[in-house]
Amino acid sequence: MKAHRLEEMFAAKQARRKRLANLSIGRKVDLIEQLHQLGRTMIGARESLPKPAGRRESH
Amino acid sequence: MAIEATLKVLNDMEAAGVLGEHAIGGAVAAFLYIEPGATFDLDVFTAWKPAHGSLLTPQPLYEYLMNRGYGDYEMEAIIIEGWAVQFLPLGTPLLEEALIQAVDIQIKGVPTRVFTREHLMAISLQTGRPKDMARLLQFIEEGSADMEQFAEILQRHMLLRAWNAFKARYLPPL
Repeated sequence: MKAHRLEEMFAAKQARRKRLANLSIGRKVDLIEQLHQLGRTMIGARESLPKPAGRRESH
Repeated sequence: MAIEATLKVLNDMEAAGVLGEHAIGGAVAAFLYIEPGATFDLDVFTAWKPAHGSLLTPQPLYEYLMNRGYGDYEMEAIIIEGWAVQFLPLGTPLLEEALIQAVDIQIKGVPTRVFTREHLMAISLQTGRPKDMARLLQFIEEGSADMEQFAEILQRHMLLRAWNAFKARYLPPL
């Protein structure tokens, strides 16, 4: 990937971080609650994944 | 899952005398300062209240919650209004200082206290797990911390060597 493209991506990431960091406490708490809910949903989904098969014995 | 309901229970516990002065630390506190990410627990730092004598124990706290229907646990956390709350003791002088200097804020109308960003940074450094290092890096990249105050905390709590190692590993000179 070209260097200027990486720089653009980094700048966009920094801008997003800054925007999120500067939200009001109320908006941040809303976001934290949504992420908390999302995390719990993903844990539930993870538990429904098939369990990895046991390692085969080598002889 | 409205966090204000959980915070209100904590304030009720303090008013009832089963929870001492407390403040929010961990990821939820960090996400009030930096870009939020996923979290499962609400970390509540507090000094346990003495129960029936001189021993410090969290038992009255858990009994109080049990009597109000909060009896579900996830690992070491107790579920209060949909949030897994971990009550954590002040195990180090740094945590004791963080509680004393915690700032008062309102979260959706509920008064609470959170650690300062500089204390959260120092605690991340002291705790030292990969996720703590990542969080500390995020605080630094966002550039809004008072680095002078942070340096004073590091000095007071003998964390300068850990800070230098962190800088050498994660913040190479430009």
